[in-house]
This record gives sequence, structure tokens and C-alpha cells, in this order.
Amino acid sequence: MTGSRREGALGLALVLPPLLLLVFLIVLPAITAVLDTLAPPPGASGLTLARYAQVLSARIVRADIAFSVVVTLVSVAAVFCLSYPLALYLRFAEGRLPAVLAVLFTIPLFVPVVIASFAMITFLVNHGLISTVLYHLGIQRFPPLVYNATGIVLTEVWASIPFAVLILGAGLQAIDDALIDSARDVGAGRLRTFVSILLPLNATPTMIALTLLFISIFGSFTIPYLVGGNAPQMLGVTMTNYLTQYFRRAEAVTMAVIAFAISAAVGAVYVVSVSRRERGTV
Amino acid sequence: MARLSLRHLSKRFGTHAAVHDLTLDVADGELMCLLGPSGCGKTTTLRMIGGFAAPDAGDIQINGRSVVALPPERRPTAMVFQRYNLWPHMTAAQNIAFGLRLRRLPRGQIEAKVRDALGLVGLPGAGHKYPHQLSGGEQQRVAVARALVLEPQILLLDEPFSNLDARLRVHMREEVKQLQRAVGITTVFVTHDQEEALTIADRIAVMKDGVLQQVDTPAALYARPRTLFVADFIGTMNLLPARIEAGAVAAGPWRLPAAGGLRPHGGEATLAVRPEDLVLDPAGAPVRVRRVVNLGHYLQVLLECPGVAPLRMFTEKGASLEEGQGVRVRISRALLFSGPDVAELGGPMRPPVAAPAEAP
Ligand SMILES: Nc1ncnc2c1ncn2[C@@H]1O[C@H](COP(=O)(O)OP(=O)(O)OP(=O)(O)O)[C@@H](O)[C@H]1O
Ligand SMILES: [Mg+2]
Repeated sequence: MTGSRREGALGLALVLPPLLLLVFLIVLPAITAVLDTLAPPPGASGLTLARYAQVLSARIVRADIAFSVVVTLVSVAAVFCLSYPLALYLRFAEGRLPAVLAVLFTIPLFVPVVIASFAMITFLVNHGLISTVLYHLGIQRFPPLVYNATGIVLTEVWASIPFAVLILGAGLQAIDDALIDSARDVGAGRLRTFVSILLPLNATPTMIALTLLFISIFGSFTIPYLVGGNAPQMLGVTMTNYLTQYFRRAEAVTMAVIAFAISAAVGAVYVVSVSRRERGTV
Repeated sequence: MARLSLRHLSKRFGTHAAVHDLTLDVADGELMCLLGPSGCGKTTTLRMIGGFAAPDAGDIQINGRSVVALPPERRPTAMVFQRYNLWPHMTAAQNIAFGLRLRRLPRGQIEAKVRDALGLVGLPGAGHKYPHQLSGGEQQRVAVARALVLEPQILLLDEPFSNLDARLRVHMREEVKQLQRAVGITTVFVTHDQEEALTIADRIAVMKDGVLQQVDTPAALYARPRTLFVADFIGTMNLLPARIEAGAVAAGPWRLPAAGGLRPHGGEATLAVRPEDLVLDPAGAPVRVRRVVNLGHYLQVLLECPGVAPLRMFTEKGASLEEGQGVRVRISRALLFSGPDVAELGGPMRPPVAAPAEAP
């Protein structure tokens, strides 16, 4: 009894420092910020959603929120579609080439986003490499590739693929060959094996990758700031503008809370689906 | 009805030949064991039959038709792997039904077949359970059911019971043997456990370093091993260095008369003697009893004799033997391995009746 209580005390002592750090640096400021956004005008009492109504009544802000969600979803979808085949290739191809490629794929992880963004710009601008290639291919009229949503998506995808390949690949690596061979053995072709065996067995890593990608792209600042256009813009940029250029702190904080709520909702979907899987099957 | 025929099958990994020029015929309804030490190429052979590895040379025929060009899903084979057999995200019933669903059978028929298959392996109530809710033995049985439900022409089993405890292994082995008899399915069973092979197989194919050593019934393999490796690998065997002299073979304190036709290969030879072929005899050579182990209905006696490593002898319980005692022992039968030749001395060896297969 005393032994287990002492162990409990020791455990508490061990988690206390990071817990306090979490509370004082993240939880408390977050709560104050949320309370700030709900604070009534001077003289009145109680909490009010007036600030949210006010922020959301601005057409530009609503457009930015929608823009952020759409750009994020498109980017996540593109990353998923590109990185899953790569992860599959790295998992199943034999020989030296995939080993070399596995290292090459991780390079973007080591490139700071600022540098990547500038590289993307020089790559995508009019008279840049891509334009020149397209021009020589006979395609002379195409929409601008940078300083708009396309530029943001392309750069986000470039920066996120290695992370996605790493997580999806690690998940695929953990699936035993015998499970795949068994599926082939009972008559499943490659596509069927992928859909019925690999995809469900890799569901948890996939959920992790998709959620983290959504949250990090949705909240990104550098890439949309450098590669995006003027308007609409992603929330990170809009918030910063409100804070540093228009000096409207209250609106900026309110937007931050809205952005946080959207990310938290995605995170909740992830937690629920993962815990249901854990309880139900695996 | 399926005959399996492997023709000059070879597979190499890099420069290392995992399987070399393997030719083997498995008759319809036969249970063939692939037996050999770890790394001898058993799994590689099985994977080539199942279509999971492509042979570098040779042919695989089922009922006379080559299947080497077919992918695993198009071959009439079903494989039970050593581990990680069941898909963890599906229940036992869903695991078994997966292959049937791929064949687009009507739902009612699938349910009936799954129920039959679960009954066949003795797990009628386990259909709704997920693999992690089943014991290791139950999982292996579901895996066998999943393979059998597709009515494959050939069943491939890769050490399916090696991670089960000894009792369960013996039990499962009997069950699979009965199932195999009942269904009459041509089966290739991989194991490195000779006791398992001797008890379950119709015939055993012994492999070593990717090369097939001998294919025979368990009794014939025990009685007439054709190579020193097989002699040593199957059952318990005493090996004595021997010299071929005019008309006789000398090994340790013994001299055995040899029929003509023994060719000395540089004089080097090995005499192989089963423990039950060492018999107490006042006319035998003098040896000393080092240890006596009572193994139930017989005694295992460790004998020390001048010039050779300790020998194992099996003898009836009646014999009163004490450790340290001097006794006289005769060799009633033996095999002489001399280069590629093998000769039987003192009549053919008995098949293994009382002899246990496991080495102590
Ligand atoms: N994919 C592979 N790549 C390289 N070498 C391999 C591969 N698979 C098998 N080998 C080699 O081929 C040889 C035969 O392997 P195999 O798996 O067939 O042995 P086994 O008889 O099944 O042994 P065990 O009883 O340990 O399962 C081994 O030396 C092994 O190292
Ligand atoms: Mg093996």
C-alpha cells in the first residue's frame, strides 16, 4: 500500500516538471486568450460571442478560412496520393535503388522552409525552369504557378512528402510479409491485397500522417507568406497581418482560437477513430 | 487429384545456392515432409511451389502442367506459414471467408463453407473472434481452415506448429494428419523436427545445403540411409571411424566380417550403428558402462570404449547394469560409409519399432 503510494508519488515527481511547463507555457496562456475573446465590452458582465460574430461577419475573413481549409485539404490529398505509392515502392522494391531513394526522399526534411519556398519561387515563376520547360513543350498559356493557391499547394506538398513517406513507410514495414503472401495465396491480386490488407492494416499510421499533415499545413505561415498571393490568404498570414500591420490584437486572437478549434476538431476525429480501432480489432 | 512434380529446381540468393537441382515427385494424396537442418532451403522450396519465389532454373508441374509462370493467386496451392498467418483486422470467419469472397461465391454458400471449415478444425464457435483473442494453436487451426476452405489441390505447410508447446504440437500434428487423410489432399510439410517428420509423413525428403539427400518412407529412411548425413540426421546413430582391411572392417575394439566388394577409399570409412544394434554378448568386445538412463520401457546406456567416442546403446529393462561396470558388447548390424559407397553389415537394419527418434 505505502509502496504503491510511494511509487505513485515518484511517478508524479517525474512527470511534474514537463507538466508544469505545459500548464504555464501553453494551457494557461491559451485559456487566457480564449477568455479574452469571450470578454464582454467594458462595463458589462458575463461572456459574449460578439467578437466571433464580428470577425466572422467580415467576408474577407470567411474567405480566408475557406481558402485555408481548401488549400490544406488539397495539399493533404496530394501528399497522400504521392507519398503512398512512394512508401509502397520503398517497402516492396528490391535491390539497391530503393535504399538510395529512401535517403534522397528525406532531403526536404533538412531544408529550412524559407529556403525551400524561395527555391520553389525561382523554380515556378514566369521564365523559371518549369515555365521554360512547358514553353518548349509547346504549352505557352498556363495559369501562373506561384503567388497563388497553386504555389502554396506545390510547396507544401514538396515539404511534406518526406514526413508522410516516413510515417506510411514505417507502418508498411511493420506489416509482416506472411500477411501479404497469405492474401496473394488465397487469390487476391496486387490491387485487392492493397485495398483489403495493406490499407486497413496501415490505417493507424495513415490516420496519424493525415492528421498531423492537416494540422501543420493548416497552421503554416512561412510557405503561404512567401509563395502565396495577397488575397485570399491562409489564416496564419491573415492573423499575422491583423496583429502586426493593422494592430488589431483582439481579432487576431479570435482568429487564432477559430483556427485552433478547427485543428482540434481534426485531432478529435483522429483520436476517436484510433481508439475505436484499438478497442475493436487490433 | 493432384500430382506435384519438381524438376531440377534451383534458386540462388547472390552467389549462395539456397536450392540446387532439386527433383522431387509427390504423388496424389501423399503427405511429403521436407526435412533438414535450419537454412537448408526448405522454406525456399515451398515458396517456389507456392509462387512466392521464382526459381532460377527448373520447372514445377502440377498434374503435368507447368505452373512456374503463374503468380501465387493463380496457383492451385494453399500455404500455411510459420507465423503471422491470420489478418489481425479480420475475425476468424472473415479470414476464412476472404478467399471465398474473392471467388464471388453467394453469401449463403460462403457462410456454410466457413462454418464447415471451422467445424473441421474443431473450432465451431470461434468465427466471431479476432486473432488476438485466439490462442496460438487456435490461430494455426484457423489458418489451416483458411487454406483448406478453398479446396486447393496442394497444401503447403511451413513449420506450422513450430511456435507451439510440445504437447500442443503433437496434438496438432495428429489432427493435421487425420484431416489430410480425410480430405486426401496432396501435402508438402516443411519441418526441421525429424520426430515430427517420422510420425506424420508418408515419405520424407531430406535436404542439406540446398541439395536433396534422399527421399524415402520413414521406415526405409531409418533402416537404409544412403548418406552419412542422413544416417546421422535421422534417429539416433553412433558413428565410429573405421578401417577396411582384407575381408573385414575394424572399428574401435570391433572387427566385423565384411562381404566382398568393399572398396577402400583411402582406407577412411565410417561405421554407423543404431543404439539398438549394440547387444550384450559374452563373445563381444569389452567396454565400460559410463551412465545408465532409464527411459521407461528400455534403458539407454552410455558406453565407453577404447579409441572411440562414447556410444549409446538401447537395451531391455531386465538387464542389470551398473555405472562403471565392464560389459561385453557385440555389433549385430551396421552400415559402412566409405566415400560414396554404403554397405550393410550383418543384415538389414530393423525399422524403428521401439527406437525413439529424439536424441537425448
Ligand atoms: N530472401 C532471401 N535473401 C537472401 N538469402 C535468403 C533469402 N531467403 C533465404 N535465403 C537463404 O537461403 C538459404 C535457405 O533458406 P530457407 O529459408 O529456405 O531455409 P530453411 O531450410 O527454411 O531454414 P529454417 O529451418 O531455418 O526455416 C539460407 O541460407 C538463407 O540465408
Ligand atoms: Mg524455413
